[in-house]
Formats: sequence, structure tokens, C-alpha cells
Amino acid sequence: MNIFLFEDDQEDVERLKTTLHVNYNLIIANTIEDGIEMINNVSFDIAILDIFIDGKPKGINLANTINTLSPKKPIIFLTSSLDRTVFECAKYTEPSSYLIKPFNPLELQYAIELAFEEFTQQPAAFATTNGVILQDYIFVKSDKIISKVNIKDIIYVETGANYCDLVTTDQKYLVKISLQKLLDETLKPLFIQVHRNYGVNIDMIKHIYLQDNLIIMENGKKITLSHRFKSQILKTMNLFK
Amino acid sequence: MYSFLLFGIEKQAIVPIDQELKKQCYHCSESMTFYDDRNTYHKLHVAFSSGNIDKAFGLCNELLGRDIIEKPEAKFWLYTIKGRILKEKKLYPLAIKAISKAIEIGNANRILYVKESYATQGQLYYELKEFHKAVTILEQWKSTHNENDINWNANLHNLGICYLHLKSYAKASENLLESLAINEKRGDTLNMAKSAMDIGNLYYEQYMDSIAIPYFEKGLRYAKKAKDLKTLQSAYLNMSVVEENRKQFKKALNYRKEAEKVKDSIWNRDKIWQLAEKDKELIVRLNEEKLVKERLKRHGAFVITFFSLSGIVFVLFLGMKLRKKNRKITLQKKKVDALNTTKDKLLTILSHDLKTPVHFLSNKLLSLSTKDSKEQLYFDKEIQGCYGIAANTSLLIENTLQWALNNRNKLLFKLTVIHLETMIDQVLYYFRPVIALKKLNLNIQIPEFCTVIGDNNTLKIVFRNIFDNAVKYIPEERTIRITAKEDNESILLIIENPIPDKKTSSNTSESYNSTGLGHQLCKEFVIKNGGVFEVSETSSFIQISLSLRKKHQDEYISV
Repeated sequence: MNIFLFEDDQEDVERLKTTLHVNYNLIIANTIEDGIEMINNVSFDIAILDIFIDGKPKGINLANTINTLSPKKPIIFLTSSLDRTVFECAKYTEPSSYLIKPFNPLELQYAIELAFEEFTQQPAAFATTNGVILQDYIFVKSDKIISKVNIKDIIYVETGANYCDLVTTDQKYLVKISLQKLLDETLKPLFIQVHRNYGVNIDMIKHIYLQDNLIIMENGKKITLSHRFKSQILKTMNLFK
Repeated sequence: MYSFLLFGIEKQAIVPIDQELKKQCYHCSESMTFYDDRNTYHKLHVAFSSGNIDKAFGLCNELLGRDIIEKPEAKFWLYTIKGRILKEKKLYPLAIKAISKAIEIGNANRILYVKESYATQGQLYYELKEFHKAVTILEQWKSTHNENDINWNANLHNLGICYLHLKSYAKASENLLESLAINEKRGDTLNMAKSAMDIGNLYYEQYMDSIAIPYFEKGLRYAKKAKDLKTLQSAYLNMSVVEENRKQFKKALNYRKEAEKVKDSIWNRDKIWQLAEKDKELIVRLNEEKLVKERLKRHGAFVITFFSLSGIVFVLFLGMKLRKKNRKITLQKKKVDALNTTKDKLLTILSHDLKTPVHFLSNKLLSLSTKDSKEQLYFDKEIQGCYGIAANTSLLIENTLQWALNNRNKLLFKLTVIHLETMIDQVLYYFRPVIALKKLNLNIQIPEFCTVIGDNNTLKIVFRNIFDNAVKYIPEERTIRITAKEDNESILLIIENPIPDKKTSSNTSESYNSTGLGHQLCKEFVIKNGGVFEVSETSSFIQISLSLRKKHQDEYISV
């Protein structure tokens, strides 16, 4: 996941670097000119902006620029001030979250989570389901770090009791959403259900052995094709015959 | 050779019209004629009857100007009054106009009194010397009246005089004789004298001296009885003219002398009257001057009193205002003093509280940097100590900042949905080193989806203070219990930890004396978040409970 950071205080940048998980990719700007250029040229998933740069509320200006982007991005304001007037000013850029210095890693993490939840209007999504769905991506929280999972990269979904594992080539992400709901609301039409416990990415199927009721995925995973879903799959697969 | 005197028109008696006017009044006779304007009409007829004709004229015109006077009867009476007033004022043409209108209305509506208006009209024409018109009108009047009428003789007399002017002697004598007869019947000597002399004139005019002279003599007799000087003078003058024409100059001279005497007495009377009038005027003027002086005096006194009173009021007002202001200033001063004392106290405590740890810190750091022994264990321990002090001090400063901002109503305060467990995790992060150092256990029992509504910043400060306190006083290797219970409206969070037995504990350096600011802040902020903050303490346990607003399923609060 890419984070755009606008901060001129080198010590704060260092602190953020060490605080943020290594899996996050940081893009740092320390002048407003750099910032505007980066915003337009680099893709990022969330912006963390210090409100005061050189004692001027340049962060708010930058937020206004970010808000002109399409699609919009979640914004977190970073400030050491607790003064209400500052927040009153910042309010109009509709930031998704605030982070107050000094902060600890948990607070930073929480601010990022909150920003995603607010931005997608899925309140407490990370706490309840472990994931936030934004456009073609699922942002999944695993082990206190948020990973951006492209739905196209998911090979198959395996469900347990009340959770699902999203399996990609190199990772496995856990979300607390039922398989049915996931397939109906998020993964369609890219995925089909092949078994009570499995949904697969149609593009990631390597072979289907109809006699053996077996599907082999791109990563070599063997998935059982159950009778219940066979006819339906055949209907969908008709084209490939 | 008309050197004799003709008596002019006689006034109509005013009594009858007064009574008639009274009859039309609502107040005097409960008549409905002027019901809509009963008060004005009452004033009008009272003024008219009492001779205040100027006032009456104004009221009369006022009433005529009103559109509401639609009743013909009312209009008739108003025009009659107007005509009479104008007659009194000798504005005869205007009076004729008004009376004509009254007659017109009266005839159209068969009002009985219209007959009297004819008489009035007759007099008016006589005054204008339009004798023909006067005669026509008065004959019209005569045809509708009998001798019982109060004005009968006067009008008859008038009619006769008119005929006399027109030289219709037969008619004149008829009317004048009738008038005289009535006067004799009524015993009115003055009018009898006048009538007799008029008749004398009538015959004299016709050169019927033998008939005329007895009438003149009769007239003189009556005039003497009547004691009216003017009539008497006329009678004497008439007699003197008659005797002169008979060449009886001596008699004529005697009569003339008598007349002069009468004239003198008239003049005397007038003179005395004038003097009396002048006297009266003088007295009135003197009185008025006196009055004016007195009034001025009184006015002066009043003005002085008024000014002095208002001056006193003004001074009192100023005094009150000043006192009010003073009271306000005193109050403000007290407030400022109290605030200043508080501020000084706070600053003293603050600097005192800061002095110790910062001094401690610098001492430790100095000893660390100068220590020869490079023992790792020693360093670690010292650094841990430094960290503890720094953390503590930073919380103190943080509290002060929050408190100051809150007092200025400048503190960030924004209600959001807060996941309780997450927030407690975030705050506990700061205490991880101390918890590890003191080998403390944490027993956290918070339902997974426990969310509250509150302000992120202030609640964090509350938790930081609570945990700071807990961690500070708890003996080593003990457990801090954090539990949350839900009910319908709120979430009750209980944080409890054991404290060392007060009897056995000695005040060690590890517990810094608190300013109480933390506790104060906790209380204030929890209330601000719509909750309740309570502390209960036993000899071995301290328990802090705070209730917070629960977030309901359907509630959505934007960040």
C-alpha cells in the first residue's frame, strides 16, 4: 500500500518511517510544490498531511488539491496543535481522520484504519470484518498492518467458520465476511462458487477435471468441485468447451 | 319733511325657538332627531340659547358638514339656527339663504315650525329694505297664524311698517291697529307706546293730523309709563315735530327740551355706564396683572423646583450608576484576584512539580555520562529510570496544556465513534515499558464490538491519567483489571488495581506527588463527554468507574 506523506520536519519523517510497517510504501514530499507534483504523478492510496509547514497551513491547501483528484483519496491530517480553530479551518477539506503528535504506532495505525473506514463509509469495518472494500481492492488488516489486495490477484477464497481466507500467489488474507456475502457483493462476476467452502477466480483456473470433480488453480492448488455447483459451473464454462 | 322717527323692526322673542330646539335634543327631551350627534347638538343648542352665538355657529357648521346628518328634520333645525345666528351677526343675505333652505326643507317635510321661519325671513327682507318680498313672506306667515302666537304682535307690527314703507296705508293701518290692540290686551306699555307712535306716524304721513296727534300723545303717555328712555325721547321728538308743524313753537320747544333732557339722561346713563365699564376694565386689568405676576411667580417657583428636582434625580442617577459600576469593578477585581491567585498557585505547583523530575533527570544523565564503569545492567536500569521520569513529566505538561485550552474553550472536542478496546490499547502502549518493568499483569475484559460516543482526544487524556495513576501506585507483579459492561444506554468501564497497604507503605521516590490536576481533568472531561466519573478507594484497592455514552446500532456519527 502506498502512503503519501507531506511533512517538512525531518525528525517527524524519521519517526513516521520507523513507526510505519515496512510493508507500507512511503512517498514523501516536504515542500508544497513537490507535493502538488507528486500528487499528480504518483499513485497512492492514502495521504498523511502535516497541517503546518513553515508555520503556514499549507497542508490544508494540499488537501484541497488532493480533493480535486478522481477518484478521491482518504486524507489524514497530522498536527501537534490541539487548538480548535485549526481544526475548524481544516474541517472544510473533509479529512477522513486526524493524527495528533506525539503519537504511538497504535495511534498511527488506528488513524489509517479510521481514515479508510470513514472514506468508504464502512464504520468499524476493520474491527468487525477485518477489511474495507474500495473500488477494485480489498484493504485487509492482518497482524496490525493494512494490505491492499487487488481482487484480480486473488486465486481463490476459502471459508472457515465465520471468516474467509483470500488466497493470492504469495499471501493469505483473513476477512471476517461470509463466503456468500463476499461472492455476492464484492467478487462477482470474477468468481464462482465451486464448493460449499470455496469460491474461485475464473481467470485463475488452470484445469478442470470433470470426472474427478477437481479444479486445479494457477498456483497448483487442487480444489474439489462439488455436485451441487457442477451443473452451474458447466453452464458458465460452456463457452470454454 | 319726514322729521319724525319710524320705529324699526321688532325682534322676535327668542323663547319659542329655545324650547323647540330643546325638544330636538336627546339629552334634554330624549328626541332621536340628533341621536348620532347628540352631544354636539346639545352643546349647540345650549350655546345658542345662552347667547354664545359664535360657538354655536361653529358647532352648527360642524354638524352641517357631517354627511351623517341625513334626517331632513335635523337639517331643518340646523339651517334655522344658522339663519338666526347670521341674522344676529347682521349678515342678512347669508341669513336669507340659510332660512330659505330651512323653509324649503320644512315645507317638503311638513314641519310645523316652518311658519316661524317665514317671520324671520320677513324681518330679514325688511332689514334689506326689500319691502315687497318682506310683505309677501309676512302675509304668508300671517295666513297660518293666530293671535295666540307669542311673536304675533311683533310680526304684525313689522308687516304694518313694511306696508307703511310701501305707502299702502290701508294695509298698514290695519296691521298696526291690530298690533296695538294686541299690545293693549297684553298690557305691554312699551310696545303700546311704539305701536301708538307708529300709527301716529301712519296718519301723520297721510296728513290726517287730527287722528295722528292723539296717537302721538298716547304714545308719549305709554312711553312715560314704560320708562324706556329711547322710546320716551322718540315720543318727545315726535311731539315736538308735531307741535312745530302746528306752529305751536313754545310747546314744540318744551318737547324738544324734554327730549334733550332724555337724551342727556341717556347720555348720562351711557356715560355712567361707560365709566363703570372703564372702572371695571381697569379693575379687571389690575387683577389680571396681579394674576400674571402671581402666575409668573408660581411658574418661577415651579420651574426652579422642577430643575432642582431633576438635578437631584440626575445626581442620584449618576450616583447609582457609579455605585453600580463600582460594585461591578469590585466584583471583577475580586474575580481577577482569585484568578490571579489560582494562576500563581498553579504555576508554583507546576514549576515545583517540574523542578524535581527535571533536576532528577539531569542528575541521572550527568552521573551516567561521568560513570566510569561501563556496566550494561547499570546503564539499562538508569535509562529506564530516566524514561519513567520523562514520561511522567510529559503527561504533566500534557495535562496542563489540555486544561489551559479547555479553560479558554479552545480545546478540540469532536464527538466520534470510538472502539473502546482499540483506544485502551493505544493508550496502554505508552505504559508498556513500565508494565514490563514492574512485571504487571493486565486483565482486560472488553466485549469485542464495544463502541462508545465521545471525543477521541479528551478520552485519551482521561485514560492516560487513570493508567498513569494505576501503574504508579500498584505494587510489583500485581494485576490491573479493566472491565467493560454494557447496558441499554451506556457502557460502564471499571479499572481497578491494588495499592500498597497504607500502614506498611513508605513514601518512596517512585511516586511523585500529584498536583491533582489529572484527577480534576478526568472528572471534567468525562462529564464533557456525557459520562460519569467516580473513584472509590479501600485500604488495599482503588477502583475507578466511568460510564460513557453507548453507540447504538443505527447511530452514525461522522468524524
